[in-house]
Amino acid sequence: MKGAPSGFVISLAVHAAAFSLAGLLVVFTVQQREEKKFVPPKPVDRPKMKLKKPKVKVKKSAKPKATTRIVTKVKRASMPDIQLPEMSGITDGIAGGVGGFEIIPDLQEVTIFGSGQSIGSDFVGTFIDFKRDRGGRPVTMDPDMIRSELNRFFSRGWKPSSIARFYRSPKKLYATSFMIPPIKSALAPSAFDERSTIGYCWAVHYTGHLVYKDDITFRFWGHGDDILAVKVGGKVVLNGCWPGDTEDAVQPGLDGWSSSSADSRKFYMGNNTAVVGDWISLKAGEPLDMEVVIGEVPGGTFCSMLAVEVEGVEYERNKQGGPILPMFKTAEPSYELIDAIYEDMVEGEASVTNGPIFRDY
Amino acid sequence: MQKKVLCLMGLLGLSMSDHALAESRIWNFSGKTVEGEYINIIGDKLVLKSSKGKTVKVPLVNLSPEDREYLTLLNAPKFVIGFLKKANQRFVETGPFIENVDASFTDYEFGVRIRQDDRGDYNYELKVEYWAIGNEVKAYGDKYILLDRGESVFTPMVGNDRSHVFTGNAVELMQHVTEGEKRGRDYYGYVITVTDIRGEIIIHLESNEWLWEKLEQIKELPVGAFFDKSGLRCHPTRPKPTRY
Repeated sequence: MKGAPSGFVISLAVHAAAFSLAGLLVVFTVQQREEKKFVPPKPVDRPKMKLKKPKVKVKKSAKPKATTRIVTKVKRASMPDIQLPEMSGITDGIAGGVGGFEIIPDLQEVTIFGSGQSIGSDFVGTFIDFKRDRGGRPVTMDPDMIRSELNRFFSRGWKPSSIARFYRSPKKLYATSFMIPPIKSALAPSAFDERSTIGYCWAVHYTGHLVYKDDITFRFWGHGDDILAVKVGGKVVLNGCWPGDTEDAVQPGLDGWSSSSADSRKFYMGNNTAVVGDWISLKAGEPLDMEVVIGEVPGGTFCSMLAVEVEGVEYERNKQGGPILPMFKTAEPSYELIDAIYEDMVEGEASVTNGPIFRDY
Repeated sequence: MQKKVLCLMGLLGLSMSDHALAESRIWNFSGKTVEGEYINIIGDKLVLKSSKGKTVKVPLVNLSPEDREYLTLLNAPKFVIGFLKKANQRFVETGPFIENVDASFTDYEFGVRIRQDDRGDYNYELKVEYWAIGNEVKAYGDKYILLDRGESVFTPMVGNDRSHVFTGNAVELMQHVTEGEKRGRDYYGYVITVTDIRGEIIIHLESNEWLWEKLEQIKELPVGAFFDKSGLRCHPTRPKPTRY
């Protein structure tokens, strides 16, 4: 370029060379990226889960020792005081329909854990397997761990999200009663179509509503081997878990609940003595949220029996000298459900046909 | 732990078709009628006992089509029928932290096999039914359970080799030790009937005579129902208390 300073020319040439080199580099890099293909990683060899050795005493099938727990405090559920009318009309007669229409569930799917079809006044049950993650893969679990998980679940308001990492069966069952006498614990997974899982470290969480057509005051009596916990209107009203390790382990999560009745843990219902719950008062037709958790810890025998005592009613006495209480129910039990209960329930430990039906008609 | 035991068991029985006591009826032949009771067929003649007590012989070829059909149904061929019972036993663990005895399940499949025992033409539809019965395992239990029922229709023909097999639903029976005693359910027996288009049971086969005697009651039961020896529905035997 005629007239341009030599320094300028040199600078121009250097810049031109630099740009050319950069262009080559860019082209080379782009070509490399276009040619690179994604290669998936090799599958990881995951070791099979080894079951831990038991950390707790093996539970024998012999009779348990009688509990020596002494209730030292009186605790009542903080329910609003309500003026109650005469408790007439709620007798120990045969429970019967009072008009309206009955939706008959598909009798082929009636199990002691619920049926496959809702009739509206029932509790929806979700089966949770603590031995598997939400994807169905095995996880390490033992009795101490599941007690801890359940205590955490209870302490966090019984929110399903607090145990969301565990497997939940897609099949739901709809229960109108919680009267499961001592049976093999493997039957629960089977009822929820989870036959492949072994019958230990599982729970079922039932949610529904508690309502009665008239004003009523009553309390639950119940026992669970290993888990039975009941919450009404946001308040724990019964911790019927297996006495000792399990009952103690979940007590903190259940607001430290303990029975205020001298009759608690006196009379057998199934394979252990029943706990007496707090008095509950319902206003006619006004529902309260109700949740029930049942479950099994180490496996073996499972039992979960929930009955009601209506205030002011005199009940027939059984061989133990205890009251023959009606089972909690939200519908008349079908013949098939009664058969399923009777097959393993000792006569006189509860009545499946008498007592109130908790629905709004 | 699982133990597979596959057992296919057929109980064969040869059952004679039941020539029920034929009632007196009007027979039509060649435009004439005669009232009489069926006695038998000798050669090409039908032998009747008339209302006056006399023996009457009528050529078979002269009988009306309705009367020939009546005779065919009355003289159904012999059939061999058998109850099928397929069982698979498995054990279910209760868990690694417990010393309890595992429960055992037996998965059953029941059915019937029927075959015409001769080559004569029958060509009428037959309804084959079965009822599979179970019983309580409790030492003091005396109730029975309708485990399954099934039915199928078939017409014996050359095309199906004059034979038929059908099976029913899967049935799961559990036996276990709970509260120190053996409990659960077990297989007990069966009843099979074969009914023709007249609605007459022409063959029946049963494992225990009283099941046949009570069949009319058992027929009224839903599958899964408990019943007693009178065939009437009842609840299961309640377990005895072991802790007081």
